[in-house]
Amino acid sequence: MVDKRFYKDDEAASRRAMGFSVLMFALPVAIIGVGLWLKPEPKCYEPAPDGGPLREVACPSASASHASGGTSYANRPEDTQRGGFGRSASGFSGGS
Amino acid sequence: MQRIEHEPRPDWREQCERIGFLFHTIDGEVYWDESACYRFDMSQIERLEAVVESLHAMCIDTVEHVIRHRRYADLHIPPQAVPLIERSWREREPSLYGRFDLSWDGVGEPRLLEYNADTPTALYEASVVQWEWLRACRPGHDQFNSLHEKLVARWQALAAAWPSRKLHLACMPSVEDEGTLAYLAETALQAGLETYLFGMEDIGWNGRRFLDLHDRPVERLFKLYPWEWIFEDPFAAYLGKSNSRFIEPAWKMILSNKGVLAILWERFPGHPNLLPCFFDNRFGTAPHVIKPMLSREGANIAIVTPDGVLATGGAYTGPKIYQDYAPLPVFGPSHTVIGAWVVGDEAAGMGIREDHGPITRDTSRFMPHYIDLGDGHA
Repeated sequence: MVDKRFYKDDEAASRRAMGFSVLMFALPVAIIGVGLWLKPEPKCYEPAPDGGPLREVACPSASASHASGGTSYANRPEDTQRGGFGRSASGFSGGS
Repeated sequence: MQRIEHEPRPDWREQCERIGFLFHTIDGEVYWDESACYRFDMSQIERLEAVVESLHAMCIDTVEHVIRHRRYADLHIPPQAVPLIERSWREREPSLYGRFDLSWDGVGEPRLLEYNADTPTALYEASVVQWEWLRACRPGHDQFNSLHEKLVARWQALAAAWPSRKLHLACMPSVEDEGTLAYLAETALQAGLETYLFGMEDIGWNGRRFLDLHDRPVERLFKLYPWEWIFEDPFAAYLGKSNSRFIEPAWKMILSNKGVLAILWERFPGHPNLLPCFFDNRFGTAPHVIKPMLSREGANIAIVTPDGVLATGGAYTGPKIYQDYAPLPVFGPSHTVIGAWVVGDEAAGMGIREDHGPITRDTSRFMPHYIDLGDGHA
């Protein structure tokens, strides 16, 4: 008899098998996608002529983009700072 | 516990890659090594399971002790981390997982070398890759491995108390960490959560909250990035202002610090699963090991014996602890360490690493194991 103590039941087996099939596709995609999935389309803004709120405009060229990810954050209406985590890694990954 | 040489599957690389395990080889060296495996009997696994849950209980008790007696200075925890640690403990922010590294030869008592409580990896290979190996190479036998089921169940339990089912997961660029993160995202997905993966460096702060790259609020963040680094980063200044909650929670800073090994020994002196350990050198010239309180992957470790000092390099400096030397068991050509997993409060499985030297490093090979169920099984 197979002791299924650590492999609880058929339902769990089925879930795990489903996990494998999903992982076959999802994992490589996820690895490639980390840092890419959530990169938004570049957004650029300019002052309104009447002095009103900033308005979104087409980005003029890639050279105007921010160094990280090709996105300009400089003129976003909500001043979101980025890059404030990750600096202490100094080339190391965080896993242990 | 036996080491058994085993002919690797001819297509083992393809089999690994088929299930998305892409770091089976690191820097040209085999990391997933199925040229041998470890055999256990059920009584050994039951012993290990009991020890892990006992160590986990002692660790939780010790967190309470450190917080109640404010022993942060002993662990060199920065003062700015204390409010977050205390809030996370007071609010009972839950833990997902951890890995105890043990020295054990299958006989006698397993001894705790250290606890990877904050950012443990080698998870996917322990949960999925060695299970696939078992099915292919030791069918009909069992494995100390309920990691996948317990991770899914743990996410479900955690999310039951959340206001939404959104989970962000972040790490630094590294094939191993990204693979671990993607696997954890998969388990969360199977638990019914909405998952968003991104890089630690891409986290934004808008003056009120942390955001992802689509400016979605980060409500729950699984971060494969150590707390001690977080508190050295500029955004640490915003942690107290934000409503984000983190997995692992900030109280894990106490357990991932090797100084906790000295406090464990102080609180449970003579415990058979602990090694004598101190903040100062009480071993004199007797064999002992010097470890930085904050270090990873076997870096900056020194084994001091009458024969001399064996030390590894690395970038981790700072305060150290002094631990009795419990040599890793030697099986054939290899020194062997057991990484025993806890998910929530339960023992959940095991991964075995081998190295030619007595210090386990990031390049140490991962070896599969099985539980021998006796006659009638190959």
